[in-house]
Amino acid sequence: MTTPPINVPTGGAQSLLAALGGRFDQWWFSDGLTPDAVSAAVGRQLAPGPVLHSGHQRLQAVVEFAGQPYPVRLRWEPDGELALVELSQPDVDPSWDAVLAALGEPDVIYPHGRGPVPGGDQRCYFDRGLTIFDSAGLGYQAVWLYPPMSADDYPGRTGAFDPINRAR
Amino acid sequence: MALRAYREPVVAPTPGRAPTKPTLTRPAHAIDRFAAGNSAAAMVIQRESRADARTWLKGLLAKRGAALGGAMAPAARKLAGWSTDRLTVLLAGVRGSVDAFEVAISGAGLLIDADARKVIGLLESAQSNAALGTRLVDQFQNSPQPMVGLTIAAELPEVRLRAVLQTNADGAKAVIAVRTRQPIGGVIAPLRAVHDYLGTLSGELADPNKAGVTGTTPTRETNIESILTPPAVANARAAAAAAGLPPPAFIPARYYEDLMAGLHQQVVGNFAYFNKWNKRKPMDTKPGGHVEGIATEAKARVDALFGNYGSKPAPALTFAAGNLADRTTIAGDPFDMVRYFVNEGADTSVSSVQQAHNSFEDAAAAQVIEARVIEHYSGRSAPVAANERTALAATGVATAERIRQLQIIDKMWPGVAQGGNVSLRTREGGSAKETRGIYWGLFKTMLHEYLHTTANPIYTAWYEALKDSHHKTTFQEGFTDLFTLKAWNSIYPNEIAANRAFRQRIQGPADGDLDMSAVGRAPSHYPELAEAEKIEAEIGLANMRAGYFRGVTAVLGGTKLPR
Repeated sequence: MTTPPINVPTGGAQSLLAALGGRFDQWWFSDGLTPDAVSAAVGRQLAPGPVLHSGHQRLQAVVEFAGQPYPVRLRWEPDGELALVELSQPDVDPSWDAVLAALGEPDVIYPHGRGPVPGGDQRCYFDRGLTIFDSAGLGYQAVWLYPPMSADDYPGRTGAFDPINRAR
Repeated sequence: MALRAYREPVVAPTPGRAPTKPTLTRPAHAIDRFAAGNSAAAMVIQRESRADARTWLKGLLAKRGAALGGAMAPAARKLAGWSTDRLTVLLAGVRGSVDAFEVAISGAGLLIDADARKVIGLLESAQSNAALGTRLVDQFQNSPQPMVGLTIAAELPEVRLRAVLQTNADGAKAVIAVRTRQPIGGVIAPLRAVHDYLGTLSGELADPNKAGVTGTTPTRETNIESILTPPAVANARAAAAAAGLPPPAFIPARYYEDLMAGLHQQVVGNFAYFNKWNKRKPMDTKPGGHVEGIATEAKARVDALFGNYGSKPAPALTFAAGNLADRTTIAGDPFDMVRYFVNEGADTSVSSVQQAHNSFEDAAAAQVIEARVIEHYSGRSAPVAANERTALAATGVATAERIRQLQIIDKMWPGVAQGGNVSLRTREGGSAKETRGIYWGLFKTMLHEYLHTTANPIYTAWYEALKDSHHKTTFQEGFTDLFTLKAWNSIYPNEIAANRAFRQRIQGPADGDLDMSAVGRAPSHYPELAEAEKIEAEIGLANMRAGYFRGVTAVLGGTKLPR
């Protein structure tokens, strides 16, 4: 189990904002990142709606953030606690090499081949609640932020291995 | 080998003719046999003027007593020859005369006559599902001759009957009432099957989670295993046995090279098609707007059939919540696009390679090679082995260009469901008429994709654990296609023809016109729909619903699956 360094934000909205800005090494989950708290942090009122995510009733909003090339998907538990943030093809700050070096070795690397980003090895940092989808020649295709959890809980709580279904 | 281009679900039948009925499924229930001939005369060309037809119809409905007997056979032929449009419009003007006419038929003892029952079925079918539900409930509960109600029920496709009764507030009570008022002993032979069916439906309405759900048996498991063996594999095995040869075995030699070539052929065909969509005008996808309304309608039509059995808790798809999205704005995933073409969406150019190499006979070994093809073609990594480098180079397309093309195909894919979210290609057509057809295509896609969002995660994890992609696809897409087709058949063609407000929700508020050529045929589907239909015949719909919506996977395969 790693612990946050003392010179970076340790959770809260600042940590989330740092991650949304590409500083994924500064992400540490903390309680209280409710829709209202996130709205206040990002300076606009979010209006999440109900969704069914991997069997869980949750609230969700899709938001465009300056600095990220694609809209960011945020999901909350029914009680308002942040459940999962999904960034697609995220921009990183200052570089992937620097961020990955700061993060150190992940707790688990799930090999690619399944899940919503099937080309990505899932580099999971369970203590801080972070997965980086490493798709080798295709780049880092996604980053997920979520509460700390065990490896056993990870698939069920995040849908990390749920399939993609395409219309024929 | 011939390249099979991607086929859109919108197909225009010959103008002036009624659309052909979607008959992808064999009747899964005995009741369907009663309705099987309703559109048999769909190819009859309408030569009669609408005014003459109206006059004839009024004359028919005025007949009583002895005049009825000889009129039934020609009336059945004539009504069946009318288009859904004509039948709906003309019946709307004389609906008030239908009840007395049907009572007269019953009073004359003609319900034993198949033509008389067919006439009743055609007259009653040509109204909206809501009106039909009201009519059935009234017949079941109040008619002095409940056998007429049973006749109407018997003449409807099973899924439409189920939808109209399940969505009527008094439907469950009415089903009990008609069976009480008309005990089976007094039911004429042709209506006993529907009487029995209503008993089954009544049980399901009373206990939707348990009625009809049965434990697996060794026989069932053996039969399901047989069903899940692809026909080409079964044929190859049979041919080898007949020739006294050893069973077919996976042929790894040149599998990489052949698969790479087949995959590239499939991508070339798909890119040529999907790149055209990339240049089209985006639709209006604002929250609460037209496209979102189509999604709302799709949920309603799915829930009409499956809501009681587990689909209803899935939230509506909305742009505001982000569980409905415009797919054309995503990044596009080259890896998943290739993975799909190899594993689930293999066209003949890929599937013929897989069959030629007997990949099914050793899925694990085949997947090792398939994984490398996916890796290399998608640009995730580069091949090292000389033969693989040569095979990839033979495509003649540089990595960056392959990635670009795959991203465009992915962004322009008609519909995708993942993690409870549905994303759609929302691009207009080249004309208003074409766009109208695209809206119906979106509706069909949304029926399918909404269903995916309702699948129980236990069920999803169960089929994901199956080793062979064909098995997975049967449960992942075949089951979903089966439920999609049932939802479609609950509204096509009569509800579409009779419900202008429904058409406006699909085509847009300003467009309530009935244009069956724009409506098109049944939703396109995976080949594994055929396996799903066989499984339905083997284990029944109640067990399939239990597995799919509620995660009761033990009823699907027992000890033989996953494997």
